[in-house]
Amino acid sequence: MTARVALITGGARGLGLSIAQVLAERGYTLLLVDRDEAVYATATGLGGDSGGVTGCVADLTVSDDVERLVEFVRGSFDGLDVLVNNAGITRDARLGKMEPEVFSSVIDVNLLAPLRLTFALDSSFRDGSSIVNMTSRAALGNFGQTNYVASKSGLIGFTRGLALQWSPRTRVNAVAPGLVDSAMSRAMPEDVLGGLVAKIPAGRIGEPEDVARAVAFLAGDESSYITGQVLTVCGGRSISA
Amino acid sequence: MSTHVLRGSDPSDADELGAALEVAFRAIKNAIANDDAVVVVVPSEDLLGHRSPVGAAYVNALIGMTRAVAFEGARVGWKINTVAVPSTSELTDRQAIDAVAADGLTGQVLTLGTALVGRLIP
Ligand SMILES: NC(=O)c1ccc[n+]([C@@H]2O[C@H](COP(=O)([O-])OP(=O)(O)OC[C@H]3O[C@@H](n4cnc5c(N)ncnc54)[C@H](O)[C@@H]3O)[C@@H](O)[C@H]2O)c1
Repeated sequence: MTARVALITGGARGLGLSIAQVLAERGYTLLLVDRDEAVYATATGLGGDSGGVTGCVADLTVSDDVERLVEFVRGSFDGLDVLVNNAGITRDARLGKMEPEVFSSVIDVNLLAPLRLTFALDSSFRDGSSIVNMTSRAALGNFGQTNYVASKSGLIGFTRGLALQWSPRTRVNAVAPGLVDSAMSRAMPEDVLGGLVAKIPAGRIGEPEDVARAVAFLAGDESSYITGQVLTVCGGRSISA
Repeated sequence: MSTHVLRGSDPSDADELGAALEVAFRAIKNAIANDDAVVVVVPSEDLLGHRSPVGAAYVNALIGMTRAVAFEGARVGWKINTVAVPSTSELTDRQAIDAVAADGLTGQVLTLGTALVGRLIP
């Protein structure tokens, strides 16, 4: 049997890297896409000389880059089994201080780029394929993140609409992580981070692997009867007081 | 407090979606700066993606915007809600305002019509 092919955006580091590690362990052939050239080293580090992991530099907000990427996919693989729309950014500001350009720049990366890439890859998806969109618990609302919340909530809407449109060929789901141990969380003052962790019923911050395993579940056949859903991976934070 | 009623557009691709969201963001930001309450009226079919993926992305992004703004302004009394109605409905601005008039109601999605009864809560 040939290996299943997965494309992960934002695969150079952070959650994208963790997702890549888990999918590599499960035997997927991987294409990691990132605007950061570090993606080449990440791919080499994960795949060694096996040829099973390829890095590709592309800014997913640039249409020429997306076209090049789509051609690369068509030329390199028979088809695509998994797409993980993981690349994302934050540019926080209170509403009164958030300029429209700052609002739209986050919408561009977190919502429009996944939408454009997904549609551009339409003809590459194989029967039984799966898309996992990386949204966030913050889609329920968060301080100083009107742009981010709108983008992630919009991505949930896209997930549901596309799940209906592309069924039964392709399943489309979303993962919504809460606070995850990352460069961003480690940069927070200790007391602020402690306060946030105290609100998590699970009693600890999320690990990247917690999120990666949820993505792998939705990517694979174990979830073959699940589509149009959001799996919230937040240690219970979204239901706590 | 007067109320600004925002009726969304109907974007059909990513370019139109980005433009429509920025228009909505500017309108909401201006309304809040003027101390107005905000009601966003959206087609209920788009809550769960019954018409198109782009329509669903748009309407859910608007809902996200209202939730974030409500969250940020909860302590200082900002009031912003979403009213979802079937696209064939002729809900007036007055009816939309009255539907979410209760004190303390903010950051919520109120769905009018029966088509989504028994479906996922957006
Ligand atoms: N870390 C968390 O706590 C957390 C929580 C909830 C959701 N998320 C979401 O998970 C995803 C990954 O987050 P992370 O913490 O790993 O972030 P990160 O910043 O560590 O990694 C994001 C990657 O995306 C890439 N990227 C950004 N814009 C791009 C573009 N235009 N084109 C191509 N690549 C681009 C970056 O170069 C980077 O490598 C994001 O969508 C984020 O919103 C993260």
